[in-house]
Amino acid sequence: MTGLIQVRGGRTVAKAVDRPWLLRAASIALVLGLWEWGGTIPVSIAFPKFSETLAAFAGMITDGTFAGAYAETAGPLIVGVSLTAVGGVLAGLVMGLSSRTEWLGLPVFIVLQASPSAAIIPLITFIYGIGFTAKVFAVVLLSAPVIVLNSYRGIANTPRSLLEMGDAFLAGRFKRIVKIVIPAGSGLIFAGLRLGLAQGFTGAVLAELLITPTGVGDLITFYRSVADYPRMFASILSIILVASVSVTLLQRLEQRLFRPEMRPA
Amino acid sequence: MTRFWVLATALVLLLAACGGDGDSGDGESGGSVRVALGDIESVETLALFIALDRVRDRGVEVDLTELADEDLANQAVVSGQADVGLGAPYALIEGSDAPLRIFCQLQAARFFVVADKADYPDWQSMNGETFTVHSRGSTTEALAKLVEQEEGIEFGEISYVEGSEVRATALLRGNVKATVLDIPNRNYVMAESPGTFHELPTPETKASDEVIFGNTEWLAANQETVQVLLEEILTVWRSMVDDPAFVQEERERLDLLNDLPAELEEQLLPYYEQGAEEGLFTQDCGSEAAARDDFEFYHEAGQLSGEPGELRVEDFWDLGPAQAAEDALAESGG
Repeated sequence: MTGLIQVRGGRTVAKAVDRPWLLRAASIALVLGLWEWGGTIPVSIAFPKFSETLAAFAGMITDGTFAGAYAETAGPLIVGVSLTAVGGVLAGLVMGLSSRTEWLGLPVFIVLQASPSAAIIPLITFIYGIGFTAKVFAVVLLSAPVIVLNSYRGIANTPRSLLEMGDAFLAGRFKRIVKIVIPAGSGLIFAGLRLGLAQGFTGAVLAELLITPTGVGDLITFYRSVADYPRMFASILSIILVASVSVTLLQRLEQRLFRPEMRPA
Repeated sequence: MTRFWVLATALVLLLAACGGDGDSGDGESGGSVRVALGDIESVETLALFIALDRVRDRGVEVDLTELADEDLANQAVVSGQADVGLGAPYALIEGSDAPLRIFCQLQAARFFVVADKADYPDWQSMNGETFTVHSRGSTTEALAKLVEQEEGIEFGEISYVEGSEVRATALLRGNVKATVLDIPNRNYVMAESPGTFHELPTPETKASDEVIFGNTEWLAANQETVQVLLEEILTVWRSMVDDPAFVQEERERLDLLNDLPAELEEQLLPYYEQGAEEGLFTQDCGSEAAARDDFEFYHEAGQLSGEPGELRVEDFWDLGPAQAAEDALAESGG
């Protein structure tokens, strides 16, 4: 702690930079401290203290509330992200290899990525109703643009030198794709899948909040309606934690799997 | 110089007097009220809009904010961004000791259970079957529990679909086979697919579907405004039960909901006729009996954790303003 305060000493600054976890922990402690303070004032009757939220969080883990809710949310999320992973990577591949398909498909995904998804999700019910399919579609709607566009960029930006090397070795089209193009784009494709999972999770929760209240979306709706604000905040906190932890783990996996030059900037 | 100040003071007083006349019109109050409505402009909210317009006519400044749902209306009142709200804030009052009090029941809970006639001819046939309600902890779920008690059945699964219009569409598409609907959507389903669906009988209750509530401090400091508000609500509610066409006439007179689509306009009169017939519109703001029924009903729904017999009416309701408004109307022959 003193090392952080004595910023004039070059060694202490270096020490803090060398230990980024210390800064991260300080940042988290600051936010949680402000939260506790905000709940003590209180900011609003509906704003619980961090300690109350933490107690509710622990209670929801031990009584199985979270397990049941996340099991329900996981269904459409897994199906939706799996479908998009296969279809999205294929679409990106085709778009990256063919300029006609690129012109046909690229604008759709760029527009989709820029559009406000919360406004589109209620429209899904008109076509897919209110069941499982609608929620899967919400996941696909949110995760597809990032998966497709990342895959497309990974494929389209294959280094020219590698392609020329393939030509030199008289590689056929199929071999060029399998042995050069896909491996060269794999870093960006994986990054797309990682971000797609995060977007898909957002889609699943939005669908639960806006279409039918199930899973973790139902926890938020229900605890808000019965004014159990610590549990409502604990539900929201759980979403943030699940998203952060899963994306961080995937990022670590990405760093382990791919060479530095293949990782997205 | 003295003459100048005398003239100036006289002029200011004169202008103030003229201004006062102009502002209040033929009214007498001059207060203001900010209303938070957790709903959008529709056929169902038209009666409230009429009442609020009549409150304006009596010199009270009315600022109406439409919000996405009732919980937001509750929050708006709690945080002081609105003076009164519409909804059913029992859980909020009990759970957070929020300084809110209900001062009038606007609508009693009247439910219409519509089921596929062939699959579910009666309640007994629904034993072990799926029943669809609005959401967890909602009044429609409380109804499902009451039905289970009264009919001696147990639903296999309670599924949740928010929005009466969404459940009506799901019913017509065959996604759900039995659900709870409001009057417009019950009429819509019956008209769209005649002979396919029928209504199952529901338990009688005086519990509230919608009440008007306010911040306790504001209620105490603005008794005159509250009285004007309640007098107009009671007048409109009683007039539309006497003659449902009153709503139609007032809508035209006050030029309200003038962009209502033709198909919704057709639903207007039937909604108020059926609502009046079903006892939807409370004629006396509810009183203690309604509060007691609410305790039972919202306890069943999971919104109130306290035992209904142990809850105190004064912790949730302020019955004084409604009584004062009723007395004033009785005196004036209204």
